[in-house]
Amino acid sequence: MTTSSPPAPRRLTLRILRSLPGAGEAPHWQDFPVEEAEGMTLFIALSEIRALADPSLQFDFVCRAGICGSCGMLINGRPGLACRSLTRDLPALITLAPLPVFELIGDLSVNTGKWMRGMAERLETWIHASASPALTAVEAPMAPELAEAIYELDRCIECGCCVAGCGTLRMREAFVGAVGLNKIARFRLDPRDERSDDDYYELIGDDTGVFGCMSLLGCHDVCPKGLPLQTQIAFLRRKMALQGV
Amino acid sequence: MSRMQDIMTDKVGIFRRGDLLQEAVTELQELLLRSRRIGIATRRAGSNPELVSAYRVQKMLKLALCVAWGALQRTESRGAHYREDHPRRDDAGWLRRTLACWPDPAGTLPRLDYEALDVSRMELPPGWRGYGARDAIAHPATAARAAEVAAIRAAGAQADRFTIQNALMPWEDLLPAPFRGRNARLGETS
Repeated sequence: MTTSSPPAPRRLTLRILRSLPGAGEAPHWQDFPVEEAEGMTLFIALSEIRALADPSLQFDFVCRAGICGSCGMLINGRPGLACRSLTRDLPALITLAPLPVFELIGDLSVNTGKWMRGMAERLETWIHASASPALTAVEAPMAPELAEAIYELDRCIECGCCVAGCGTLRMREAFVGAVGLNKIARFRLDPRDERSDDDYYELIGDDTGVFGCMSLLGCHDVCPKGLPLQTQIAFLRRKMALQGV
Repeated sequence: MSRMQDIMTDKVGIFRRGDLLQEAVTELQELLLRSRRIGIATRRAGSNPELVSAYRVQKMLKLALCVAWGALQRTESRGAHYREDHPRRDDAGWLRRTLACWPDPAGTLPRLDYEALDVSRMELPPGWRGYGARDAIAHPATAARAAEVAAIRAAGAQADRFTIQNALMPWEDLLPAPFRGRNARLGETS
Protein backbone atom coordinates (compact mmCIF):
# COMPACT_ATOMS: atom_id res chain seq x y z
CA MET A 1 0.00 0.00 0.00
CA THR A 2 1.23 3.40 -0.85
CA THR A 3 0.20 6.54 0.90
CA SER A 4 -0.34 9.29 -1.57
CA SER A 5 0.30 12.79 -0.33
CA PRO A 6 -1.97 15.45 -1.73
CA PRO A 7 -0.50 17.13 -4.80
CA ALA A 8 1.35 20.35 -4.11
CA PRO A 9 -0.90 23.39 -4.57
CA ARG A 10 -0.57 25.29 -7.81
CA ARG A 11 1.40 28.50 -7.85
CA LEU A 12 -0.86 31.08 -9.44
CA THR A 13 0.16 34.39 -10.93
CA LEU A 14 -2.40 37.16 -10.84
CA ARG A 15 -1.44 39.72 -13.45
CA ILE A 16 -3.31 42.85 -12.50
CA LEU A 17 -3.68 46.07 -14.48
CA ARG A 18 -2.69 48.78 -12.01
CA SER A 19 -3.62 52.38 -12.61
CA LEU A 20 -4.61 55.49 -10.73
CA PRO A 21 -6.30 58.14 -12.86
CA GLY A 22 -5.10 61.66 -12.27
CA ALA A 23 -2.05 60.65 -10.22
CA GLY A 24 0.49 60.59 -13.04
CA GLU A 25 0.81 56.82 -12.75
CA ALA A 26 0.93 55.11 -16.15
CA PRO A 27 -1.25 51.98 -16.32
CA HIS A 28 0.95 48.91 -16.02
CA TRP A 29 0.68 45.19 -15.38
CA GLN A 30 1.86 43.89 -12.07
CA ASP A 31 2.30 40.21 -11.21
CA PHE A 32 1.35 38.80 -7.81
CA PRO A 33 2.16 35.20 -6.89
CA VAL A 34 -0.53 33.37 -4.92
CA GLU A 35 -0.58 29.83 -3.65
CA GLU A 36 -3.82 28.15 -4.64
CA ALA A 37 -6.04 26.77 -1.90
CA GLU A 38 -9.01 24.41 -1.97
CA GLY A 39 -12.11 26.16 -3.26
CA MET A 40 -10.28 29.45 -3.73
CA THR A 41 -12.16 32.23 -5.50
CA LEU A 42 -10.61 35.33 -7.00
CA PHE A 43 -12.07 37.25 -4.08
CA ILE A 44 -10.01 35.18 -1.67
CA ALA A 45 -6.89 35.48 -3.84
CA LEU A 46 -7.23 39.26 -4.11
CA SER A 47 -7.87 39.64 -0.37
CA GLU A 48 -4.74 37.61 0.28
CA ILE A 49 -2.71 39.88 -1.99
CA ARG A 50 -4.05 42.93 -0.21
CA ALA A 51 -3.36 41.45 3.23
CA LEU A 52 0.10 40.05 2.53
CA ALA A 53 1.64 41.75 -0.51
CA ASP A 54 0.20 45.11 -1.42
CA PRO A 55 -2.32 46.86 0.84
CA SER A 56 -2.83 49.62 -1.71
CA LEU A 57 -4.46 47.33 -4.30
CA GLN A 58 -7.90 48.70 -5.10
CA PHE A 59 -10.82 46.35 -5.81
CA ASP A 60 -14.44 46.22 -4.68
CA PHE A 61 -16.23 43.48 -2.82
CA VAL A 62 -19.22 43.48 -0.53
CA CYS A 63 -21.20 40.26 -0.37
CA ARG A 64 -18.69 37.61 -1.58
CA ALA A 65 -21.68 35.62 -2.89
CA GLY A 66 -22.67 37.01 -6.28
CA ILE A 67 -25.55 39.12 -4.97
CA CYS A 68 -24.21 42.65 -4.67
CA GLY A 69 -22.61 43.03 -8.09
CA SER A 70 -19.57 45.05 -6.95
CA CYS A 71 -16.81 42.71 -8.06
CA GLY A 72 -17.30 42.70 -11.81
CA MET A 73 -13.94 42.73 -13.60
CA LEU A 74 -12.26 41.42 -16.72
CA ILE A 75 -11.00 37.94 -15.90
CA ASN A 76 -8.66 36.78 -18.66
CA GLY A 77 -10.40 39.34 -20.85
CA ARG A 78 -13.94 38.23 -20.09
CA PRO A 79 -16.33 40.19 -17.84
CA GLY A 80 -17.31 38.21 -14.75
CA LEU A 81 -17.80 38.31 -11.00
CA ALA A 82 -14.55 37.72 -9.12
CA CYS A 83 -16.37 36.27 -6.11
CA ARG A 84 -17.97 33.55 -8.21
CA SER A 85 -14.84 32.67 -10.20
CA LEU A 86 -13.03 29.68 -8.79
CA THR A 87 -9.31 29.66 -9.47
CA ARG A 88 -9.44 25.93 -10.23
CA ASP A 89 -11.46 26.78 -13.38
CA LEU A 90 -8.74 29.16 -14.55
CA PRO A 91 -5.18 28.70 -15.87
CA ALA A 92 -2.22 29.39 -13.60
CA LEU A 93 -1.76 32.82 -15.15
CA ILE A 94 -4.83 34.96 -14.54
CA THR A 95 -5.04 38.48 -15.92
CA LEU A 96 -7.38 40.89 -14.17
CA ALA A 97 -8.37 44.29 -15.51
CA PRO A 98 -11.10 46.77 -14.59
CA LEU A 99 -14.38 46.71 -16.52
CA PRO A 100 -14.30 49.05 -19.52
CA VAL A 101 -17.01 51.69 -20.21
CA PHE A 102 -17.35 52.65 -16.54
CA GLU A 103 -15.47 55.48 -14.86
CA LEU A 104 -12.21 54.13 -13.49
CA ILE A 105 -11.55 54.71 -9.79
CA GLY A 106 -8.24 52.87 -9.65
CA ASP A 107 -6.79 49.39 -10.27
CA LEU A 108 -9.79 47.01 -10.49
CA SER A 109 -12.29 49.43 -9.02
CA VAL A 110 -14.79 51.16 -11.31
CA ASN A 111 -17.80 53.36 -10.64
CA THR A 112 -20.65 51.23 -11.97
CA GLY A 113 -23.11 53.08 -9.73
CA LYS A 114 -22.73 56.33 -11.63
CA TRP A 115 -23.48 54.67 -14.96
CA MET A 116 -26.38 52.65 -13.53
CA ARG A 117 -27.93 55.72 -11.97
CA GLY A 118 -27.73 57.59 -15.29
CA MET A 119 -29.40 54.64 -17.01
CA ALA A 120 -32.10 54.37 -14.35
CA GLU A 121 -32.96 58.06 -14.55
CA ARG A 122 -32.99 57.98 -18.33
CA LEU A 123 -35.32 54.94 -18.46
CA GLU A 124 -37.28 55.86 -15.32
CA THR A 125 -36.88 52.37 -13.90
CA TRP A 126 -39.46 52.63 -11.19
CA ILE A 127 -43.18 51.87 -10.89
CA HIS A 128 -45.24 54.62 -12.48
CA ALA A 129 -48.62 54.67 -10.74
CA SER A 130 -51.09 57.54 -10.66
CA ALA A 131 -52.73 56.67 -7.33
CA SER A 132 -50.73 56.71 -4.13
CA PRO A 133 -50.75 53.30 -2.43
CA ALA A 134 -53.57 52.53 0.02
CA LEU A 135 -51.65 51.85 3.21
CA THR A 136 -54.29 49.87 5.09
CA ALA A 137 -55.69 47.81 2.21
CA VAL A 138 -54.61 44.25 1.49
CA GLU A 139 -52.17 44.21 -1.44
CA ALA A 140 -53.66 43.38 -4.83
CA PRO A 141 -53.05 39.70 -5.59
CA MET A 142 -50.77 38.66 -8.45
CA ALA A 143 -50.70 35.32 -10.25
CA PRO A 144 -47.73 33.25 -9.05
CA GLU A 145 -46.59 32.73 -12.67
CA LEU A 146 -46.47 36.49 -13.23
CA ALA A 147 -44.67 37.10 -9.95
CA GLU A 148 -42.14 34.45 -10.97
CA ALA A 149 -41.66 36.01 -14.39
CA ILE A 150 -41.05 39.45 -12.87
CA TYR A 151 -38.71 37.99 -10.30
CA GLU A 152 -36.72 36.20 -13.00
CA LEU A 153 -35.86 39.58 -14.55
CA ASP A 154 -35.55 41.30 -11.19
CA ARG A 155 -32.59 39.06 -10.35
CA CYS A 156 -30.33 41.53 -12.19
CA ILE A 157 -27.66 42.79 -9.77
CA GLU A 158 -26.36 45.62 -11.99
CA CYS A 159 -22.81 44.27 -11.91
CA GLY A 160 -22.07 45.84 -15.29
CA CYS A 161 -20.76 42.68 -16.99
CA CYS A 162 -23.30 43.01 -19.84
CA VAL A 163 -22.31 46.64 -20.32
CA ALA A 164 -18.62 45.76 -20.42
CA GLY A 165 -19.29 42.89 -22.82
CA CYS A 166 -21.44 44.98 -25.20
CA GLY A 167 -20.15 45.69 -28.70
CA THR A 168 -22.81 48.30 -29.39
CA LEU A 169 -21.72 50.40 -26.44
CA ARG A 170 -18.29 50.85 -28.06
CA MET A 171 -20.02 52.69 -30.90
CA ARG A 172 -22.96 54.32 -29.17
CA GLU A 173 -22.02 55.79 -25.84
CA ALA A 174 -25.64 56.58 -24.96
CA PHE A 175 -26.83 52.99 -25.48
CA VAL A 176 -28.76 51.79 -22.42
CA GLY A 177 -27.29 48.30 -22.55
CA ALA A 178 -28.86 44.94 -21.82
CA VAL A 179 -29.27 45.92 -18.19
CA GLY A 180 -31.47 48.86 -19.21
CA LEU A 181 -33.54 46.87 -21.68
CA ASN A 182 -33.98 44.12 -19.11
CA LYS A 183 -35.33 46.70 -16.64
CA ILE A 184 -37.87 47.90 -19.20
CA ALA A 185 -38.90 44.29 -19.85
CA ARG A 186 -39.37 43.86 -16.10
CA PHE A 187 -41.55 46.95 -15.62
CA ARG A 188 -43.49 46.14 -18.77
CA LEU A 189 -44.57 42.87 -17.12
CA ASP A 190 -45.51 44.53 -13.86
CA PRO A 191 -49.26 45.29 -13.64
CA ARG A 192 -48.55 47.96 -10.99
CA ASP A 193 -46.69 50.03 -13.59
CA GLU A 194 -49.28 51.91 -15.62
CA ARG A 195 -46.98 52.82 -18.52
CA SER A 196 -48.08 51.63 -21.95
CA ASP A 197 -45.98 50.41 -24.88
CA ASP A 198 -46.38 53.93 -26.23
CA ASP A 199 -44.53 55.27 -23.19
CA TYR A 200 -41.85 52.59 -23.45
CA TYR A 201 -41.40 53.42 -27.12
CA GLU A 202 -40.57 56.99 -26.11
CA LEU A 203 -37.86 55.59 -23.81
CA ILE A 204 -36.24 52.87 -25.91
CA GLY A 205 -37.64 53.27 -29.42
CA ASP A 206 -34.43 54.60 -30.98
CA ASP A 207 -30.84 53.53 -31.53
CA THR A 208 -29.80 54.34 -27.95
CA GLY A 209 -32.48 51.84 -26.98
CA VAL A 210 -33.68 48.55 -28.36
CA PHE A 211 -33.05 49.40 -32.04
CA GLY A 212 -29.38 50.16 -31.33
CA CYS A 213 -28.62 46.57 -30.34
CA MET A 214 -26.61 44.76 -33.01
CA SER A 215 -27.52 41.34 -31.57
CA LEU A 216 -23.92 40.44 -30.85
CA LEU A 217 -25.31 39.18 -27.53
CA GLY A 218 -22.09 39.36 -25.58
CA CYS A 219 -24.38 40.46 -22.74
CA HIS A 220 -26.21 37.15 -22.81
CA ASP A 221 -22.97 35.16 -22.85
CA VAL A 222 -21.35 36.92 -19.91
CA CYS A 223 -24.33 37.61 -17.61
CA PRO A 224 -23.26 36.03 -14.29
CA LYS A 225 -26.90 35.59 -13.26
CA GLY A 226 -27.84 33.80 -16.49
CA LEU A 227 -30.64 36.24 -17.31
CA PRO A 228 -32.54 35.57 -20.56
CA LEU A 229 -31.24 38.77 -22.13
CA GLN A 230 -31.33 37.44 -25.70
CA THR A 231 -35.04 36.57 -25.47
CA GLN A 232 -35.95 39.77 -23.69
CA ILE A 233 -34.19 42.05 -26.18
CA ALA A 234 -35.71 40.20 -29.16
CA PHE A 235 -39.17 40.33 -27.57
CA LEU A 236 -38.92 44.03 -26.75
CA ARG A 237 -37.68 44.81 -30.25
CA ARG A 238 -40.69 43.09 -31.78
CA LYS A 239 -43.10 44.90 -29.47
CA MET A 240 -41.46 48.26 -30.08
CA ALA A 241 -41.35 47.72 -33.85
CA LEU A 242 -45.10 47.02 -33.79
CA GLN A 243 -45.54 50.18 -31.78
CA GLY A 244 -43.57 52.16 -34.35
CA VAL A 245 -45.55 51.20 -37.44
CA MET B 1 -7.52 42.88 12.38
CA SER B 2 -7.28 39.16 11.68
CA ARG B 3 -6.13 38.65 15.31
CA MET B 4 -9.30 40.44 16.46
CA GLN B 5 -11.40 38.25 14.16
CA ASP B 6 -9.77 35.12 15.59
CA ILE B 7 -10.37 36.24 19.19
CA MET B 8 -14.01 37.03 18.51
CA THR B 9 -14.57 33.70 16.76
CA ASP B 10 -12.72 31.59 19.33
CA LYS B 11 -13.71 33.26 22.58
CA VAL B 12 -16.81 35.40 22.01
CA GLY B 13 -18.62 32.98 19.71
CA ILE B 14 -21.69 30.76 20.01
CA PHE B 15 -20.75 29.06 23.28
CA ARG B 16 -19.31 31.53 25.76
CA ARG B 17 -17.56 31.06 29.09
CA GLY B 18 -16.45 33.58 31.69
CA ASP B 19 -12.77 32.68 31.64
CA LEU B 20 -12.57 32.80 27.83
CA LEU B 21 -14.45 36.08 27.70
CA GLN B 22 -12.01 37.51 30.23
CA GLU B 23 -9.08 36.37 28.09
CA ALA B 24 -10.72 37.93 25.03
CA VAL B 25 -11.21 41.25 26.83
CA THR B 26 -7.59 41.30 27.96
CA GLU B 27 -6.25 40.50 24.49
CA LEU B 28 -8.57 42.97 22.78
CA GLN B 29 -7.39 45.69 25.17
CA GLU B 30 -3.80 44.95 24.18
CA LEU B 31 -4.78 45.12 20.50
CA LEU B 32 -6.59 48.42 21.06
CA LEU B 33 -3.48 49.93 22.64
CA ARG B 34 -1.42 48.64 19.73
CA SER B 35 -3.90 50.00 17.17
CA ARG B 36 -3.47 53.51 18.53
CA ARG B 37 0.07 53.50 17.16
CA ILE B 38 -1.03 52.13 13.80
CA GLY B 39 0.95 53.22 10.74
CA ILE B 40 0.44 52.67 7.05
CA ALA B 41 3.00 51.60 4.49
CA THR B 42 1.52 52.88 1.24
CA ARG B 43 1.60 56.50 0.21
CA ARG B 44 -0.48 56.10 -2.93
CA ALA B 45 -2.90 58.93 -3.74
CA GLY B 46 -6.59 58.31 -4.28
CA SER B 47 -8.75 55.91 -2.34
CA ASN B 48 -6.41 53.87 -0.19
CA PRO B 49 -7.81 50.64 1.23
CA GLU B 50 -5.00 50.43 3.78
CA LEU B 51 -5.85 53.86 5.17
CA VAL B 52 -9.51 52.87 5.37
CA SER B 53 -8.60 49.78 7.40
CA ALA B 54 -6.33 51.83 9.64
CA TYR B 55 -9.18 54.18 10.50
CA ARG B 56 -11.66 51.39 10.92
CA VAL B 57 -9.69 48.87 12.91
CA GLN B 58 -9.57 51.07 16.03
CA LYS B 59 -13.33 51.51 15.97
CA MET B 60 -13.85 47.83 15.26
CA LEU B 61 -11.77 46.98 18.32
CA LYS B 62 -13.85 49.34 20.45
CA LEU B 63 -17.01 47.63 19.24
CA ALA B 64 -15.48 44.21 19.84
CA LEU B 65 -14.69 45.30 23.39
CA CYS B 66 -18.26 46.53 23.92
CA VAL B 67 -19.49 43.09 22.85
CA ALA B 68 -16.95 41.04 24.81
CA TRP B 69 -17.01 43.17 27.97
CA GLY B 70 -20.81 43.32 27.95
CA ALA B 71 -21.03 39.56 27.42
CA LEU B 72 -18.62 38.95 30.29
CA GLN B 73 -20.79 40.99 32.70
CA ARG B 74 -24.03 39.33 31.60
CA THR B 75 -24.04 36.21 33.80
CA GLU B 76 -27.01 34.50 32.19
CA SER B 77 -28.01 33.02 28.82
CA ARG B 78 -30.42 34.96 26.65
CA GLY B 79 -31.18 34.46 22.97
CA ALA B 80 -27.95 34.23 21.00
CA HIS B 81 -25.90 34.96 24.11
CA TYR B 82 -25.26 31.50 25.55
CA ARG B 83 -23.04 31.16 28.62
CA GLU B 84 -21.92 27.62 29.39
CA ASP B 85 -21.24 28.71 32.96
CA HIS B 86 -24.67 30.40 33.30
CA PRO B 87 -27.08 28.37 31.16
CA ARG B 88 -30.34 29.75 32.67
CA ARG B 89 -32.13 32.87 31.58
CA ASP B 90 -32.29 35.24 34.52
CA ASP B 91 -35.17 37.70 34.11
CA ALA B 92 -34.95 38.74 37.76
CA GLY B 93 -31.40 39.95 37.45
CA TRP B 94 -30.88 40.60 33.75
CA LEU B 95 -34.11 41.74 32.13
CA ARG B 96 -32.35 44.93 31.18
CA ARG B 97 -30.59 46.43 28.25
CA THR B 98 -26.82 46.95 28.14
CA LEU B 99 -25.87 50.47 27.10
CA ALA B 100 -22.19 50.90 26.30
CA CYS B 101 -20.46 54.22 25.83
CA TRP B 102 -16.85 55.29 25.64
CA PRO B 103 -16.42 58.42 27.77
CA ASP B 104 -12.63 58.23 28.08
CA PRO B 105 -10.89 58.29 24.67
CA ALA B 106 -7.67 57.04 26.26
CA GLY B 107 -9.43 54.22 28.12
CA THR B 108 -9.49 50.61 27.00
CA LEU B 109 -12.95 49.66 28.26
CA PRO B 110 -16.41 51.10 27.62
CA ARG B 111 -18.65 52.26 30.44
CA LEU B 112 -21.65 49.96 30.78
CA ASP B 113 -25.02 51.24 31.95
CA TYR B 114 -28.18 49.21 32.25
CA GLU B 115 -31.70 50.19 31.36
CA ALA B 116 -34.39 48.06 32.97
CA LEU B 117 -37.30 46.86 30.83
CA ASP B 118 -40.79 47.56 32.16
CA VAL B 119 -42.62 44.23 32.36
CA SER B 120 -45.86 45.95 33.37
CA ARG B 121 -46.14 47.54 29.90
CA MET B 122 -45.50 44.44 27.83
CA GLU B 123 -48.09 42.84 25.59
CA LEU B 124 -46.35 39.50 25.99
CA PRO B 125 -44.49 39.37 29.32
CA PRO B 126 -41.40 37.12 29.35
CA GLY B 127 -42.24 33.47 29.76
CA TRP B 128 -41.74 30.03 28.34
CA ARG B 129 -42.44 30.01 24.59
CA GLY B 130 -42.82 26.29 24.09
CA TYR B 131 -39.23 25.30 23.30
CA GLY B 132 -36.03 24.72 25.27
CA ALA B 133 -35.72 24.05 28.99
CA ARG B 134 -38.33 25.68 31.19
CA ASP B 135 -35.85 26.97 33.76
CA ALA B 136 -35.77 30.75 33.43
CA ILE B 137 -35.58 32.75 36.62
CA ALA B 138 -38.75 34.84 36.47
CA HIS B 139 -38.91 38.58 36.90
CA PRO B 140 -40.96 39.53 40.00
CA ALA B 141 -43.44 41.55 37.93
CA THR B 142 -44.08 38.87 35.32
CA ALA B 143 -46.87 36.94 37.05
CA ALA B 144 -48.88 40.09 37.80
CA ARG B 145 -48.63 41.34 34.22
CA ALA B 146 -49.45 37.93 32.76
CA ALA B 147 -52.63 37.85 34.87
CA GLU B 148 -53.47 41.39 33.78
CA VAL B 149 -53.07 40.49 30.10
CA ALA B 150 -55.24 37.40 30.55
CA ALA B 151 -57.90 39.51 32.26
CA ILE B 152 -57.93 42.09 29.45
CA ARG B 153 -58.24 39.36 26.85
CA ALA B 154 -61.05 37.65 28.76
CA ALA B 155 -62.94 40.92 29.25
CA GLY B 156 -62.60 41.77 25.57
CA ALA B 157 -63.62 38.35 24.26
CA GLN B 158 -66.38 39.94 22.17
CA ALA B 159 -64.34 42.99 21.12
CA ASP B 160 -62.40 43.31 17.84
CA ARG B 161 -58.64 42.94 17.72
CA PHE B 162 -58.04 46.72 17.56
CA THR B 163 -59.86 47.30 20.86
CA ILE B 164 -57.91 44.51 22.58
CA GLN B 165 -54.66 45.75 21.15
CA ASN B 166 -55.35 49.25 22.40
CA ALA B 167 -56.20 47.96 25.87
CA LEU B 168 -52.93 46.01 26.03
CA MET B 169 -50.68 48.65 24.48
CA PRO B 170 -52.43 52.04 24.42
CA TRP B 171 -49.87 53.91 22.36
CA GLU B 172 -51.56 54.35 19.01
CA ASP B 173 -51.16 58.11 19.35
CA LEU B 174 -47.38 57.66 19.18
CA LEU B 175 -47.63 56.44 15.58
CA PRO B 176 -47.26 59.02 12.81
CA ALA B 177 -50.78 59.98 11.70
CA PRO B 178 -50.61 58.37 8.20
CA PHE B 179 -49.94 54.95 9.75
CA ARG B 180 -52.80 54.87 12.26
CA GLY B 181 -55.30 53.33 9.84
CA ARG B 182 -56.72 49.89 10.52
CA ASN B 183 -54.85 47.38 8.38
CA ALA B 184 -57.06 44.99 6.48
CA ARG B 185 -56.26 41.29 6.67
CA LEU B 186 -56.95 38.54 4.18
CA GLY B 187 -60.18 36.70 4.99
CA GLU B 188 -61.39 39.37 7.37
CA THR B 189 -64.55 41.35 6.65
CA SER B 190 -64.52 44.77 8.21
